[in-house]
Amino acid sequence: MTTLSFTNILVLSYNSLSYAAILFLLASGLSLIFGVMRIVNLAHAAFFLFAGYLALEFYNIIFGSLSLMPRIIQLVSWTLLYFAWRGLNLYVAPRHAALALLLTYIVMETLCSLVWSFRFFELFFPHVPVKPVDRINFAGMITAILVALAIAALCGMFIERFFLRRLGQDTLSQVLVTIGFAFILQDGSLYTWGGDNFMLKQPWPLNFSAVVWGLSLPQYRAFMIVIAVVVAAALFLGIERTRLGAIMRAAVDDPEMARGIGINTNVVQMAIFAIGALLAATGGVVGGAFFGVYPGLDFEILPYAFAVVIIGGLGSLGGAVLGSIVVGFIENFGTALFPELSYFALFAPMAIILAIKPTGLFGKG
Amino acid sequence: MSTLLSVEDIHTYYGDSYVLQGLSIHVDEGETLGILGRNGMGKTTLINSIMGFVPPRRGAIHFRGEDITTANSFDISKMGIGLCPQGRRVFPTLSVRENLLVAQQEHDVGYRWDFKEVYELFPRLGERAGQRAGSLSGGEQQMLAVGRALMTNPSCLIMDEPSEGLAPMIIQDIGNAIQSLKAEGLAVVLVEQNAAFAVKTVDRVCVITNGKVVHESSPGELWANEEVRRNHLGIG
Repeated sequence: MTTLSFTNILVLSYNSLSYAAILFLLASGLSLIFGVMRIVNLAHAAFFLFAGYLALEFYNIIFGSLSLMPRIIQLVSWTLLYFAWRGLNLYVAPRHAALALLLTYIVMETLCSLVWSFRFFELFFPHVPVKPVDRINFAGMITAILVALAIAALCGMFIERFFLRRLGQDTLSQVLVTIGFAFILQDGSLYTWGGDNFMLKQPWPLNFSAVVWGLSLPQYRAFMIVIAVVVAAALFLGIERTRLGAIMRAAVDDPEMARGIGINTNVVQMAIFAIGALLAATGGVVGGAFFGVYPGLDFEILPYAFAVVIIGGLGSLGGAVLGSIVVGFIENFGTALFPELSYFALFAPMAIILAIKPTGLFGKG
Repeated sequence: MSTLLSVEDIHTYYGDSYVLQGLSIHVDEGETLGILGRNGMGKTTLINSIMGFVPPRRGAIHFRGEDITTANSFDISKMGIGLCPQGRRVFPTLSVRENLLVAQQEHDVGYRWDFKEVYELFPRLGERAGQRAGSLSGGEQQMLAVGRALMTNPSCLIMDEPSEGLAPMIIQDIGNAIQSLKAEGLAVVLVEQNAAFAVKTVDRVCVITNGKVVHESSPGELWANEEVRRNHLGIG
């Protein structure tokens, strides 16, 4: 076991807090979705990773790389294919329409490879190498992030509306569907953006370190803490102080009664799922400039998010704050003090809390 | 007077148990209908069928001429049926004010019922506006449940056992509130086990036994009909 100087402890605490900030962004969404809708969302961290990739993609589009054009071609190709399918179906039976499209595809693929030496299917699935962007500014970064967040939230709404809503309260189906989407998002990202490790660029002036009392403290870490505090405050005010928040809480207290006084609980559930996905995505883009964005990051961080909500208590905002700080500190100090045991240092307390107080420190049960 | 709510020969099941076996009732505009019957005869199931919580398998329910048999509960509520359910079912973690707030529909601005009017009807709620609904007394929760139903600005208010488990003083208060709503022309469906309370309040009564209406008359006639009272209500 190594000993820590006072300076080490200060720096480690700073790192722990900033790590806790990312964990909070991820885990608060997980906790919200579970606490309110009783859905164990294993795809949650996939939103985290997916949003990182999306932000990367839109960075590249906005800051002028080549990746926009293939995406437009892809969109146009899929749209044309859709209308071709609809058009064909007006005149012939679906079986014949499918056959016609297949034949067209074979002819086009052959023609394209032989005559123009490119692959026809790449119109639908263009492979674009993503290069990290060097130049970056705040306005562009914000735009890219907002677009990425919106897409992630829409994905969440889509999954809730067309899949999870049909399953009701069947936990096994929920777990299977969400883990299925976790793999789809993961492998879809791998296919589209490849296996390289990317780093989202930290915009000026966050890409510097502040020097305080001789300690070098990266400013981006402070930025992560600020974002987490702002999000926590917004969540608290939104849930506890607004009409929409009251409607959400009413739908949790007694969903049937809530419908009986005119609350459309379907819309409420979809909104909650979208907010959960949005929180994960926020963690993903903020953390993407810190952890990096790479395949496997999602399943690497998901256990930490579960540790946070188990320690803090599911469905409790205060619990998510406390849980993130506990996990952030244990992880950072554990790694520094006994690196070979850092996983044990984190998950042993979790197991103990599960055994003693299964609802977590702040859990409502 | 025209018919506001009509339930036509509905058959409702809970899983395999056949609860409502061809039940029909109707409520006219501005009328107060009492639904009486002993425990387990299907009174609350009737309410659950009307509200769309447990839609009937056969039969039809019309409200203002529109078919609401299989409509969503929240749409039924928005069309103008206010529910004050059995067991009150206030949202316990919400404050009194929030309980009323969530029931308020956006199109309701300028309608009859808003916070001010509910607090006038039940001053106790105004005094406890910030308190958690779960910490209220039974009578206060009942007032809140009525107030919450009124916030949806219903044209028909359904009250399921409002007197259940309350002290006589409070029952009197609730009864007065129903009288004043009735005087305003609001149609009320009062489901009760407490027949003595119901007959003082309503214009017409239906008695339900085993999922069917077995007797329908004015409250005075019911009270005079000893056979129905003894066989179907268990009061001699």
